[in-house]
Amino acid sequence: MSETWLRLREGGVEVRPDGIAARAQIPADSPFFSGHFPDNPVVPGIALLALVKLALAAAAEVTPAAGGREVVGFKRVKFRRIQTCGGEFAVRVELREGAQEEALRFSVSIGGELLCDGLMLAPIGGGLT
Amino acid sequence: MTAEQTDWTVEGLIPHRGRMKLLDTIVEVNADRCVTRATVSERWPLCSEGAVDALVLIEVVAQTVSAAASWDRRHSEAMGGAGYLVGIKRARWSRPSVPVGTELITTVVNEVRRTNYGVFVGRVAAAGELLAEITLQAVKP
Repeated sequence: MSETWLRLREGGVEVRPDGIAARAQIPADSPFFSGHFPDNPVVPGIALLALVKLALAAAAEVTPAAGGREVVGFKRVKFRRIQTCGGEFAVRVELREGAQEEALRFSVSIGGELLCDGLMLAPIGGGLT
Repeated sequence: MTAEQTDWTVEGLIPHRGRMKLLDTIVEVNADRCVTRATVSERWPLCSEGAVDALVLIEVVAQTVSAAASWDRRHSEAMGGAGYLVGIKRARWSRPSVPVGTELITTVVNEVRRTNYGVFVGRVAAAGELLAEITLQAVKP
């Protein structure tokens, strides 16, 4: 399938001492906008959360701190403003080397404006029951 | 089917269309809860290798909330119509992905109902198995 719902920018994932910084894109022609909503396109909340998951997965390839985690949910997520079109998004996930906590703080911004933040539940080893 | 039930079409209760309309049927809707049915499709978002990411279950619950709020608007002055998801108090799923073809039954209960704000507790199940519990907050601008 050639369509692109969303993607990380090539080379756009950086692992820092305090966490992951990623640049990601939701193209203007993403199927997310095909019906969400007709004549009033809004970036769905799950699209922003998917960018966060994508950043963690990409970081797992370069840092052990992100590896071995399975995303099992989110909590205390706030959507701060409505984003009406695609573009390039900045994703941050707080994750220190050797961190054992299940809940990882994250944020997604565009053009310096905070779109959403909260906690991603990603226990080491998955924790799915 | 009663005359009132003919209004309970998915298209009549939610604004989502095209590939972002995930619900198939409104099974039940009243002042307290809404139950919907949806079948996981390869045309859904975040579908890969025959399954969708469990994250999409949040959208399934959000669309069920939208249906509940629209129904409520038609029957009261409480929150309804074009509302927006503003928060996820908690979302947790029991498996990382859901196979294409799975039939989902989603039940949403309106826990807090105010004029322009609501809290909704959603549970998504398939074949009797609970797949996710998701609590959403929504506002009407």
